[in-house]
Amino acid sequence: MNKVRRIELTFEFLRVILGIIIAFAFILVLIALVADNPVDAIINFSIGPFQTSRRFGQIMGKFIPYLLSGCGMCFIYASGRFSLVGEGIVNFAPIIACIIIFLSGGWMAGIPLWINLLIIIVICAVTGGFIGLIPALGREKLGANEMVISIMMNFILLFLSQYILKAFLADRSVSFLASWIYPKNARFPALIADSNFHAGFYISMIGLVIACFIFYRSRIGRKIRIAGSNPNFARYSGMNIGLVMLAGQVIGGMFSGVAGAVDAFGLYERYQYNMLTNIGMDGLIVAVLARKQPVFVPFGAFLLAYIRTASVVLNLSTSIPFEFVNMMQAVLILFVAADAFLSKSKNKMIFKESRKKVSEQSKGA
Amino acid sequence: MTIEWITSFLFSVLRISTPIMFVAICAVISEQTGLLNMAAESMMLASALTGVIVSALTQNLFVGILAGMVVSVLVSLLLCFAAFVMKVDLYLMSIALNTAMSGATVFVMYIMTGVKSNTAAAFNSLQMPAIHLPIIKDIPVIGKILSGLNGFTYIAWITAFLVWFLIYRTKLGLRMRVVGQNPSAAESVGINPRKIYTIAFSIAAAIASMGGMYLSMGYQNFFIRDISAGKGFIGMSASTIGNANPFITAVMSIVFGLSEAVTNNLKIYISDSQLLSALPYIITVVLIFLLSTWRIVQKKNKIRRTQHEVMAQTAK
Repeated sequence: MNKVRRIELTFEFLRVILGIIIAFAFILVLIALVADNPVDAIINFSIGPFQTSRRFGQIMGKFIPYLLSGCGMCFIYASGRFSLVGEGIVNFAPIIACIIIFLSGGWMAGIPLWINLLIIIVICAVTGGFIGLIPALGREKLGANEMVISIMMNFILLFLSQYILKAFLADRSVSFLASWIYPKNARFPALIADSNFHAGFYISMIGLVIACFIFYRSRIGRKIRIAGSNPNFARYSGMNIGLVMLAGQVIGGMFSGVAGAVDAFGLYERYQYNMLTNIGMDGLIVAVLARKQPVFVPFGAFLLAYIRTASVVLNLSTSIPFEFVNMMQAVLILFVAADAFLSKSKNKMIFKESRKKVSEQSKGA
Repeated sequence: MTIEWITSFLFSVLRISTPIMFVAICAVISEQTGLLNMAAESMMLASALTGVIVSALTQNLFVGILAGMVVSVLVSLLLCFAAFVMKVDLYLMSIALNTAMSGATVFVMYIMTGVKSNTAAAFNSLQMPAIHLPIIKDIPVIGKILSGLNGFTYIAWITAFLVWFLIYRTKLGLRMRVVGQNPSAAESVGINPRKIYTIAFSIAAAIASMGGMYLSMGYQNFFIRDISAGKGFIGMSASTIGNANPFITAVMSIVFGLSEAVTNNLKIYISDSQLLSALPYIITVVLIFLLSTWRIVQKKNKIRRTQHEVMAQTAK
């Protein structure tokens, strides 16, 4: 690895770390200003999530879907398209799985747990892929803005899944709108008893490996990266850009579908989403924190899951509303995704290094 | 269906379409410069809360509205700083700002009132009064529909005209359109695209802020969390459908208001109202698809026509 590349990587890393530190400082100052007992509140916020296994389970419960939707968003984000349809897929894909579980005559009842879960995951992934295809087709074939379409589709998918839930799957014996209780062989078993840490963790790890493989080692992954970072170059070197972008968005949709499956069948015993889960949007934030690299997605996902859990913990102990961490996310993104942040000192370093190299070369000659 | 029912229905359509119209016009301005204004939602939220708080504290409506506008412009300046100075992706920052503002408004509301759902109990905010137009109100049917609407509604209509004037009849508007069509070309003749973007976003923010304040100070006199409820995105798609033309966009936002009013009216009779709630969004997606197909067909026809002409000329 040459020196310039090394400097670039160092600064990339530094930027993420600095961004995280600044965002944390910002939020801690905010807590200290508002809370009645600042020291307690800050301790609660920073180490509270690790104090009990239950809270740690909460972190992991959030981490599992974030990991998958983050990987999916890496593909969409890397292909340079802003399809946010993952949000709606997380709501809608489990509904299709529910229809097959409850309304297909009970053929799934006798199947062993893991095979059944695999079937559910495949169903959700296929659903996600197909839904991801709609805004992608609109963009590549018709030139319709994929962002507008995908945001509208999120609302459509939300209302559609609510409709299907109410009309065909609703359990009338409970007071809230929810499906029947899932059969035993359609739930991810808990890894730590009485916590949110469930066996979907394995699925997300496998998903991460697959994402890394596709992204770095496969032909389509390389094409997506090239087409995303420089469409003109890709076009002139003979790539079918439309097809590549389509593939990127479909893969993203499939990962979102799996994220929905893992969340709906892991955390809850019935299908009970009644609004958008925000997992899709959080996937985007995870992808940004990971700098579009699936390898780093676990760190981003864990950080976000930790922040979210910490805010809930803080809310329980001090009644500061947990929504305030949303501000922290904006600060995080402002610094982590900022290309100009630290770029001056980076360029200075690179100049210095290059000059040294040139002078050494001229001495040698 | 009596005439009275129809007039009151149309009246409610105009009432419902007001915030959408503000946001749609706000989206028109940024779309003319070639960028989508995804952050309209956050601008609405910020200004809606500020308007309520300031107008309640000062007991002056116009100070409240002004404060809401200023806060909204500040939000847009933050967005522009992030996007054009710090070089964060604009849409990414807009999404981050939307979630941030939905959190920040809850946070500020909690600090000011101790409640995190609405400000109804703590603040006695002022409300924009309904305005009765002098001559029109005496015309039998039309008067019932067009007169007596909230002041913001009339401001929205006037804004549509002003924005049309700004875009098509002023130097700034010309520059905005140039930047929107080709930023590099604009830069080569000495127009700084980032400056134009920032100006456009500030104007857009001021307009979006009135949409937000209509929700919290026109419709009712308190702020509820996430009061904008996706209206920012509907406005954005109205402008996309209207191809960033202020008048078509304004008409489109009335169409959206109509579909929402129909939904509200039918909800009483239909128990499974979820599909009905999805209706405006389905209409949007279908319309956008149809319009883009139409535009592509037109483009192809034009190319074919030009080819024919060139062929005919060379044949001569």
